[in-house]
Amino acid sequence: MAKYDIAVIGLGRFGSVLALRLERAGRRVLGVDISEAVVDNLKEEMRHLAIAEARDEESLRQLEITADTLVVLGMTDVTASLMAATALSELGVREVWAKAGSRQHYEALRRMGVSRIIQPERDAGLSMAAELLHR
Amino acid sequence: MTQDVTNRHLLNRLVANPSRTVMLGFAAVIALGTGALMTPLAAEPGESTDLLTALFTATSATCVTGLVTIDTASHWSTFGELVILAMIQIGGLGVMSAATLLVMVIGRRLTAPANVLTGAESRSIAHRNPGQVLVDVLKFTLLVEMVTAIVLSLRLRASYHADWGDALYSGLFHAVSAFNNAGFGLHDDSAVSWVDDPWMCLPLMASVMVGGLGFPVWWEMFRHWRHQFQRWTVHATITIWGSLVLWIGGTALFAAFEWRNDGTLGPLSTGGKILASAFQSVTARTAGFNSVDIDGVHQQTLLMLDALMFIGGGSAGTAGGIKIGTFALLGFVIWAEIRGEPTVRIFHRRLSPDNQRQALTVALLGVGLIVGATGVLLTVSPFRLDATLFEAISAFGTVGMSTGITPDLPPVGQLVLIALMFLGRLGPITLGAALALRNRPRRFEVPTERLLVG
Repeated sequence: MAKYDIAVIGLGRFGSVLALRLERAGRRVLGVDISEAVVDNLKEEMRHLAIAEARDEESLRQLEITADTLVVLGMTDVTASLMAATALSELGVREVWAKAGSRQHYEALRRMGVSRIIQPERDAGLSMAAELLHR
Repeated sequence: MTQDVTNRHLLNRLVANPSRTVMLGFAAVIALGTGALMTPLAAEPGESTDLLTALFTATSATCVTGLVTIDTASHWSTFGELVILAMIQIGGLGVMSAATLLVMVIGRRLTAPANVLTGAESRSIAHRNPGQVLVDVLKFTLLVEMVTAIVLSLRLRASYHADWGDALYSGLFHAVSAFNNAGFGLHDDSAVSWVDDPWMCLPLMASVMVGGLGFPVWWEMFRHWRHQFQRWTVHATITIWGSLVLWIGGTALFAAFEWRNDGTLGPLSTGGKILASAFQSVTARTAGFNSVDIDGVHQQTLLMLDALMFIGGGSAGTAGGIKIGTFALLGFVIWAEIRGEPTVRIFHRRLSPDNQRQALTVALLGVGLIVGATGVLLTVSPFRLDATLFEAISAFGTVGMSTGITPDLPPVGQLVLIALMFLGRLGPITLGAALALRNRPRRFEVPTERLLVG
């Protein structure tokens, strides 16, 4: 069994809220970010946190992310996101979910085989449109 | 060129796991020595040696401690004594070369090759040719031992009515024993009969100190004298100053505590008292000769000797203990903390955090080991805390001074001392090397949190 059910890489607004929600629901969550300040801000509320460069395969291995871990890529930076996705696929991680900031980002992630991708701005716009249409 | 490559290959294989190589080497020497000492040839006619005695003596000699369960002179034949002498020499050389090589390996791993950066010949011992360094260690050892042996032999011939053969043999034995900080003597009273003889005590002290400073310091002094470079390394500075401070401080305290004690310094002249104090202060770290009766000293003197024995001498020398460098380093850490400094500085250089943790580990594991061993000794023997603690520290620091309880300890107690001698001789070096060479770069870090301290 994998050490963590879910690993959230990139703990910005999106990633941190996601990780905290999952942790409160009792999942074993690992939060990873490159910034020490970001990680330190979460240390009161989350148990498993790491400061690491997620594009480095060896770091991911040392963090005990295995093929069975579900990994969520929360970073907005396209390069970081795609590099991390590449490293994860080299590690054989079967399920990667991601957040995309732009259409091209979405496209690139999709072609890399990322199974579930959300685009917050687009999705929020669509959901608000749906709400308006139902008035 | 081919020769050089072969040498490097062999060295690489040996240093791939330096701790294991050194441990196995010592264990093998001890096993061989035990076997040799158990043969009837090694004991005086009419005496026989059991396994525990042979093992204890072999460990004590190889780990250059000097604790004995039986009297060296009356039990062992000349062959037995020569075996012991050989083990002392192998043990002393082994420790010096192994430690010097470990220093070099660590230095190379931790620093960029200096000649690559500057194109100049490196000042550091870490970038010497290992084979040449070993030859230097050997030459240095033989030179100091020869000089000491000659002085001692002349004095023994001139003043103690020994014939030439006896004088040369005894001089050589004591010179080797002193330089290697072993503390094995040929008299049942160690050096008590020479207590106020400067011609015997001063060469022994000098030899002990030279052996105890450690080869890297001597190498540096030699380079300095040849004007090949100007700046002293922090290690050499601290080792030399630390030795002086501990020596003079120990002398003063020993003299102050024992000045009027009829069992020790009392009967001597003023000069003799000072000489004996200085001798005791030097040999406590960690040669183990005693020119006064250790059983007769006050409790506070025992405590002071405990401290000196625990600290020991310089790194990569023949001395034992946690080493002056380790001790001084922790002192500087404490000083920096008291002053609220962000980092620990020694002589305009910053100490790395892993260096500090290393010193802390070596020192505290040493303390833990001694406390545990003393507890066992108290349980299995009828002796009191002061004597058992002294014996445990003496074994751990490979000092070999004794309050005289070692021969009367039960087998379990003697086995505890054997383990202490082995760990005390090899533990700090190999532990230090293992810690410094720990090669597992961690690619991630976790958030910081502070523990409440104090």
